[in-house]
Parts: sequence; structure tokens; C-alpha cells
Amino acid sequence: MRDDKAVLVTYNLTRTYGAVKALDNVTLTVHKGDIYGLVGRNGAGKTTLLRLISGQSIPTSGDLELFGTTGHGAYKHRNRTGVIIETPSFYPYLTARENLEYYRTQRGLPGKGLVDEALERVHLEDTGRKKFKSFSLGMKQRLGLALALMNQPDFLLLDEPINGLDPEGVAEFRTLMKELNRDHGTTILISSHILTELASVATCYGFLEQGKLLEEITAEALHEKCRTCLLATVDNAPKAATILETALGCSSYDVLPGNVLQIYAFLDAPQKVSAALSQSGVALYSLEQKGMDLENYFLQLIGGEQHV
Amino acid sequence: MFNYLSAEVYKVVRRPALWGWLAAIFAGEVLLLYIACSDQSGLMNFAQGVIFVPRLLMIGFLAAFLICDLVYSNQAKTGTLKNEVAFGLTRLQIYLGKLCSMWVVSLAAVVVVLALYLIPCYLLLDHSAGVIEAMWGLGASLLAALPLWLGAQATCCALCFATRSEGLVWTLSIGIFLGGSTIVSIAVTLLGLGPFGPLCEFLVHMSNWLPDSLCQVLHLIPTFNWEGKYPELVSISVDIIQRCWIVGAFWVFVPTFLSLSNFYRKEIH
Repeated sequence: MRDDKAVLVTYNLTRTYGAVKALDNVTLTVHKGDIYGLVGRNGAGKTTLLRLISGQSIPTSGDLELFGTTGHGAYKHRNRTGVIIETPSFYPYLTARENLEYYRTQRGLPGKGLVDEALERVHLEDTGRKKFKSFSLGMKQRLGLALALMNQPDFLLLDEPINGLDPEGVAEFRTLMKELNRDHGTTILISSHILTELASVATCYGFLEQGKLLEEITAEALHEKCRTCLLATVDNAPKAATILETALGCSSYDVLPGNVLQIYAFLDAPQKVSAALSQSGVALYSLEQKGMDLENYFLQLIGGEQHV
Repeated sequence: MFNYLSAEVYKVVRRPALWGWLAAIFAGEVLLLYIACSDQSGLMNFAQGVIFVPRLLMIGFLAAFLICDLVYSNQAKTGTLKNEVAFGLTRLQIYLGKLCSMWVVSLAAVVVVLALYLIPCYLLLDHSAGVIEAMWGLGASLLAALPLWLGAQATCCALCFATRSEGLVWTLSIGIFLGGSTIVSIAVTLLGLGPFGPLCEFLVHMSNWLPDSLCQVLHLIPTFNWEGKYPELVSISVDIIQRCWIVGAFWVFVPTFLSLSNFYRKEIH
């Protein structure tokens, strides 16, 4: 589904609050058809970035390009986006249907059926006269999603969209995202703390830390980087690397700092590696099999076992 | 803009508070009609009933805050403005959309409230004499009050966009529109400017241009020293009407410009 055409490009986007740089020269690209997962700790700048894209906040410097239009003109294309940022906000004294009808009228969207369709899609069609103020967090989140989907957007911006959803809701949400992306070509930019959920839908990732974009990577490249391997800690990594190549004919390895070798072969026969190294006089301190998931990769990237 | 206005009206008519306020005003009108119909002096007729109306027009200033609250719906707290910005509506569209909606709702409310008073008045009271003069008088009062109402509404709207505190909006708007000249008098006294100093004269002159001074000139604020007599038709000159429009325009444009400038830079949550 990925297309070379960019739906969103940010150019050195910066937002400061007093002396604090909430976002620091962020340049990223979301291509058409991507499900772009934004990963970062609390306060890393994920919500600030989404708020800048959606126009709720104004950048201190930098620019963004939305559907090929930069500067002030970008706002014209915001009607092609659907947005959930932070807690969904609606009028507390209106019902779900009335709230959506209000926004449908305001946005000039044709066809009253859009409201029913959006409510059915998130299973809120039977809420009747219940006012928004009496909704549970999960119901509020569903209504937020209904509003985001009502204008059949080309680009969805979702900030922690599964907050408050029950397990069934999370599964439905996951299916819906995949469906929208596959069947309608909807591009999705999604931030979530629940990295396992993100990993199940995202096709590429951006890692944010202290307002800076550390890395952008596709899901395939990440999978490649995180694949299962043998981690060998030795006394002399260059010598061990030579032995791997000459004695075992293995070229699929990386040398990491701290005399660590990451070997992608012999996963079923690690004893061959230990035997070859010890026969050549290389001291092997440890040899373990390791595979990384998204969380481990992120933690390694930010350089510590900190909470995401 | 038509879509925006339609949506705002859709929302406002679903607010129970709107119907509560209209019911309260209607109850007041019923009471007034009851008093008028119970009059035994024989002086009470439709024309006299109409002359009462300008003295009730100051309700329009109090209603400015209420209507502003009905339309704006404390969006700073409910956070619904972000839904509008995120869809690509410009901040100018949003601001002017809210302001125009407030004007539309308040003008509709004026029409409803006046109709609910004048029609029964016409049906229940003698309307054989003085009707044309009374209606002209009412028309002139409305023409003079209209810009002041619009100014009050625009100021309330500006304050709503500028602050999250409803109490502050209420206090400032009432202070500006119903107590401005009193505040100037108190300031002159407290600052010890003396009754004849140039600064004092300037402030007193300027206070004549404040909305509440105009309300007194127009007899929009009810006085309770009628000594048993019914109020008489107040003659309103073109000069006064012109002054009302100038003052109204000031209170429309200046607060709107200042608040809109602030709204353009504002972070929306």
C-alpha cells in the first residue's frame, strides 16, 4: 500500500514553551498508505507534534507540508484528515448523535446517513438519549473515533486512540485500522504507549526522545534489525570475527561495542560457535540467544531501561 | 459561514438553559401583562404598554452574557474548539462564526420576547389611540439599543475567547456595560482628581460615551421614582442614535480585534 507520495512532511519543526523545547527540529515524512507509529516516552513530544500537524498549536519555527501544500495553505487540507488528540471533546449536554450531527452540519458534509454510519462503525448506535457527559471513557473514545472517521479522511492522526477501550474494543480498533489502510488507502499516524499494539499495525516507525526524532525506520527494516541472533561476549571481537569467517564461513554478523558479536547464523547450533572460538584461543565470556521486540529496540535506542 | 451558523443554532436550541431563560422572561411578561390588565385607573392602554418596553431593554445587556454562554458553551473547558481547528476551519472563521451566531440568537430572542409581549398587549388592551407614536418611539429605542447590544455581545465574546473564567467574563461585561460611568466617577473620587481639573473633565466627558450613560439617556435603565404616574414616551434624537452606533461600533471592533489577535496565537486544548 506504500506510495512514494508524501502525505505529510515536517521540516525542522520546533515548538518551545518558554525555555523548554517540546519539539526540536523534527523532520519526518509520512508516505501515502503508511501506518506510521510514533514511539516515545511521556513528554517526548508525540502529542506536541500531532497538535502542530492538526493546527491546535503553532510552530515556533519550521514548517509542515500536508498533501503537498506548505505554509498557511496546509490548513485547507485539514478537512481531509481525521483527528483524535488527547481525550475526545464534545458538548456534554448533547447525545452522541446530536454531537456528530452538529459537526456534520458545521463541516457541510452531505448526507445525514454519515452520522448513522459513523455511529454504527464504533457501535454507539444504541446510546439513544444518553448525554455525552454520562459516557464512559471507552464510549468517549469511540465517539472521538466516529468523528475522526465521519468525513472519510485520507489521513488519520491518532494520539493514544485505544486509551480506555476494553479488550474487545482494542481488537476491533486494530481490525478497523488495518481495514481502512488496506481497503481505502487511509494513511495513519498513530502514537501509543502500548507498543505491542503499535507493532501489530504499524508499517513504519518514528522514535522521539526529548523532542528530537532519533530514527525513522520501516517495519521490515526494524524486523531485520530485531531478528533473533546469538550474542557472544568475547575478549577480542576482531579476532573472533575473523574466526567466524574463516573457520565457520559465517559473514552474517555485526560487531557491537564492548566486544560483543551479534551473530545471525548457527541459531540451532551455538556449540559450534563456542567450540571454534575456544579452539582459536578466544575467551568466550557469554553466549546467549536473543531476539528484540519493538520495546527492547526502543529502549536500546534511547540508551537505557527506562519506561516508555 | 451558513453551515457554521446552522450548526450553532442546532446546538443552542438543544440547550435546556435557553428554554429556561425564555420561560423566565415569558413569566415576567405575563406578570407585567397581568398588572397592566388589572389597572383600574383607565390610563393603561396598548400605547402605554409599549412605552414600558424601552425600560426593559437593559435586559439585553444581561442577556448578552447569557447568550454568549449558550453559544460559546465554555469551549475553553470542554475543549471542543480543537475539533473545529483540526478540520481546517480558520481561527477567523471560528471567531466570527461564534460572534455572528451570538448576534443571530440574540436578535431572534429579541423578536420572540417582544412578540410574546406586544401581541397579547395588543389583544388585551385598548389600542384605539397613540399606537403609531408609541411604535415609532419603540422603534427609535430599539434602533439606539441595537448597536449597544451588539457591542455588549462582541465584548462578551471577546472576553470568552480571552479567558477561561466565566465569573470574570460576567463581572467585566456587566461592569463595562452597566456600570462604566459609575466606575469612572469612583475612580475620579479615589484618585483625588478634584471636580474641576482637566483630567477630571476629560474623564467625565468620556464617560458620557460609555454604554451605561447612553442607557440612562435612552431611559433603558428603569427608574423607580415614577410617583404613581406611568412613564412617558421618551423622545430620542437622531444625534443620540448616531452616538449609540458610534459607541456600539467601538465595542464591536476594538474588543474583537484584540481578542482575535490573541486567539490567532493561542494554543487550543
